[in-house]
Amino acid sequence: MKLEITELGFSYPNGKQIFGNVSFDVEKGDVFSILGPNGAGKSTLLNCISNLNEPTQGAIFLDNEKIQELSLKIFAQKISYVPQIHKPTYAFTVEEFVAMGRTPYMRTFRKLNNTDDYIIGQAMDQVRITHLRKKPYTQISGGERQLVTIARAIAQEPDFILLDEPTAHLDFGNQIKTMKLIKNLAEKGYGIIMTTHNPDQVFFVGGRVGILNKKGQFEMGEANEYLSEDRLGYIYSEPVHIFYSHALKRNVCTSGC
Amino acid sequence: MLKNISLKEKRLNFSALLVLLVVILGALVIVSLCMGRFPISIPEVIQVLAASIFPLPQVGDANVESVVLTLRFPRVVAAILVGGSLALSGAVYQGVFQNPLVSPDLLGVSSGACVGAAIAILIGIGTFGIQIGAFAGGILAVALTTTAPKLIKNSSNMMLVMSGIIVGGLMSSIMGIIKYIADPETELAEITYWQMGSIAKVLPKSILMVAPAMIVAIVIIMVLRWKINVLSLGETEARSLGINVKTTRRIVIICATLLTASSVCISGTIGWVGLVVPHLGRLMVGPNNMKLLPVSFVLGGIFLLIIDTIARTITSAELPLSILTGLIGAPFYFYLLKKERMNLS
Amino acid sequence: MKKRVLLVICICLIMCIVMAGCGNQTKESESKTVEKLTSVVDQGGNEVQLPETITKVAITPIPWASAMWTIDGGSERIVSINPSAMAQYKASFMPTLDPDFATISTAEITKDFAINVEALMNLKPEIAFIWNDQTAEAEQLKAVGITPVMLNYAENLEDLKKDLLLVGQVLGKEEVAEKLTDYHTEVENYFVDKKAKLDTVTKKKVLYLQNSKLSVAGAKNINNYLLELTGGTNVASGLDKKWSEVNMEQILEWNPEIIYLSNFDETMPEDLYQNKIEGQDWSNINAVKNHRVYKTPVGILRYDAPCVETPLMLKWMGSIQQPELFKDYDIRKDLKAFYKEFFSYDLTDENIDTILKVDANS
Repeated sequence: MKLEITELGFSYPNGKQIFGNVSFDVEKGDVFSILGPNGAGKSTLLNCISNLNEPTQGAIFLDNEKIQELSLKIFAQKISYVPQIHKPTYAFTVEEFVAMGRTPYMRTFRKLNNTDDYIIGQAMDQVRITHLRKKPYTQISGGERQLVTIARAIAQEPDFILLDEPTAHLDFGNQIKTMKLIKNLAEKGYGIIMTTHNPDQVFFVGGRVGILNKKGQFEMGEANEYLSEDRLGYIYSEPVHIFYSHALKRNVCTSGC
Repeated sequence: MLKNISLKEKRLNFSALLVLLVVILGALVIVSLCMGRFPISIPEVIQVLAASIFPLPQVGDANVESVVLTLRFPRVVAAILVGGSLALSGAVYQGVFQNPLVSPDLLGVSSGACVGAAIAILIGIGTFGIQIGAFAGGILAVALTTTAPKLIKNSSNMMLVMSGIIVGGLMSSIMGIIKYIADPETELAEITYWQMGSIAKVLPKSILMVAPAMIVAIVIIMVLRWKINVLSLGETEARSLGINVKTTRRIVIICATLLTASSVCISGTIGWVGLVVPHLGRLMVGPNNMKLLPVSFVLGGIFLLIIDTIARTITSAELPLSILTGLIGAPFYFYLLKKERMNLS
Repeated sequence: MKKRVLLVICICLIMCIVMAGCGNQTKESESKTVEKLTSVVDQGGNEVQLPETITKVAITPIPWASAMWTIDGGSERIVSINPSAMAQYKASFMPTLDPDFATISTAEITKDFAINVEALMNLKPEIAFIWNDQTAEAEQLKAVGITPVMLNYAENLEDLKKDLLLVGQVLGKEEVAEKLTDYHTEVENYFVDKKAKLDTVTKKKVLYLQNSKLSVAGAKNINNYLLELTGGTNVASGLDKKWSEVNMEQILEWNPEIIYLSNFDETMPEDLYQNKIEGQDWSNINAVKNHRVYKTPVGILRYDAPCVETPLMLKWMGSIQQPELFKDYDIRKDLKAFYKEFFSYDLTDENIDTILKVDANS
């Protein structure tokens, strides 16, 4: 199972190009991070890959099939999308919310059956929110809500999970919790693509990274080789410090002053 | 663990609740059939009902039979259908627009349907024409209401409500023009009837005319209620969960509008039911449309049946229903808002 | 197709009834007994099977309470009327003629003609007169054994007579109804015959004012027909409605010579003469300058609506608009004769003054 992005580009109807010539591929078990400053078009790129926006150039293939040619249902069975957390309108319970991940498998007259219930339970277990299952989604914390949305994505039984800035709006502890979960998901075999504005998270989850700069140019490489102080300093126009932590056994990125 | 139990108790067991509500509705049907200005004893009503189902002798007095079967029974059926439909369409609109503040009246659908019906009366094209007119007017109103926020590029809850107020105002002005043109001695009375809301004049045949469209719309909505849940999360999430948002939304809105327009055909515009009842339902079973929609329908039926029974028994003249739904609905809605402490941003 | 068949049936039925009526008339001279009709065609085009005996009647249309009272010669058989009809009764001359009319119930019918059928059933009427657009109510009434008879809101004297005759047939009082419609025909013919003469005189510019909100009678109003027949031209005849609201400027532009004030509100000639209505200036209107503003008469009903006394309205208008041309009758004498004939009541001079609003109009 392979997700292939080839020469992807997106421009607004007025001709203004957001990004162009983006090419990379992701297989199951891979982690691919999209890094870039605010306003570089990370979310637009992710939305194109999630089939929410239509790219103006290039194409995305899922096992050699163009994703626009797949039905929305089939697509949702293979790729799930975790949006940035938001304030929901209705107080669905956590369980009901996670159950909506089963939508791509529902047919007109079918109700949730035992298999669905099992998958929903497993998804909640995996992100450790089972104790919240009867709570209204509106009355849990932001971090919990992010976990619940990820559980819903798992309930879709996808091959790939796409996350849009999964740690935005989260406190420090919840950021760590979420990143651990994402790394864990990759280890379990899901292909992960996520956008982030924090280079340190890229080191944390490992894998490859693509950088989208403000001119819409895209470059990529192995996180540990590719992310250098110079490169990041250039992108963010501020000094950045990278060092290897023996305690953590990984590279760490902090501010350079 | 304790918390779990208390929450479970709060949201009653769904099937038990639904059965309970249906039983209450059934009991109210019998009570309502027994009430009226023409004195008929309860055993007589039961005898009439039994005789109309089983091969039993009818009550001696032919008037008793016709009061129960041709005056009260159609009204009871109409009250349940109209109340249920308005509540259901209100719940559906609130779901697909992700906005607990909207209802058939606040979106301008009721007044649009009313305008459509009034134009059909003016042209004089019969009952079926009035139905078509009401539906066309309702669709036009909902289309206008949903277009305005897009043009202003503001998709907040408040904007949709504002837009509904604009369209409602426009429709009532058009209604004013129609009333101005209408012949005051003949057409006006009929047009006023649409605006005031009443099922006093309902005939079995007018219910039969409208019921098929209503039932089809109800069935489609019930089949799609899982998808309405997903739509209520927002457009992006619904699409990422594999839903064809535009088509599904369109079908659901058309069905809800059909329900509102059909209700307008039977009873004219009746306010508050479509706004208040879904909130009451959400208080009982939560926002899950799998449970909320059936519960809203039954609750709506119960609510309007009680209202109409009051309307025809409290005085010997008829009271317009909107007066009573407003008197009961408005304070009740205030109570609900307070209880839900709704976040209106 | 269905409609056409219905129409043919209706025409046949009407012809049958007319023929039967003619037959009856010839019979009448032989023997005084009139056969009771078993069915009639009402003004909704329905063939109505009449009950054997009619002892109680309900009436939703407002003017027809007084019309039925006239034709039936009393209020014994009337059990329920429109609350507006009762309000008009109280404002009319009728309480002098029949104080018992005040006891008729008004609780079963609302001002907007809705009927609480169950409440009405308790009064056990056999017949209910309703407007011909009340089709839903007709079916409900039929279902509970009350026979609905539909009347038409007349825009001319021809339709009015049809309504009057229908009421007569239903109540078994054809004789009275015919006598009344004969009188209508006679008076209308009198004015129609004068048409040639009328064309030689200048017609008076007339404004028929419904209320102080400046609602005026347009081309579809029966009063438009009545005042033009009696030597006037309606300044508002360009408005294609029964009543339309206009503004003061429009009235100044029309500058009518005669103004009639209806009894739909309390506006009096004095209010115009003394310019008492705020926001309106009547002082430069010819009719006001020449003291030619008239409150219309109220007999058993206000003369503004087509009903029993409409011929008297014609005579009253004629005597105001073209007294020279119509000097061969005396409105006071004819009024007295009409009341004697149809209500068996001898009007005193004060009574006549009250009906014709002589105080307000002098």
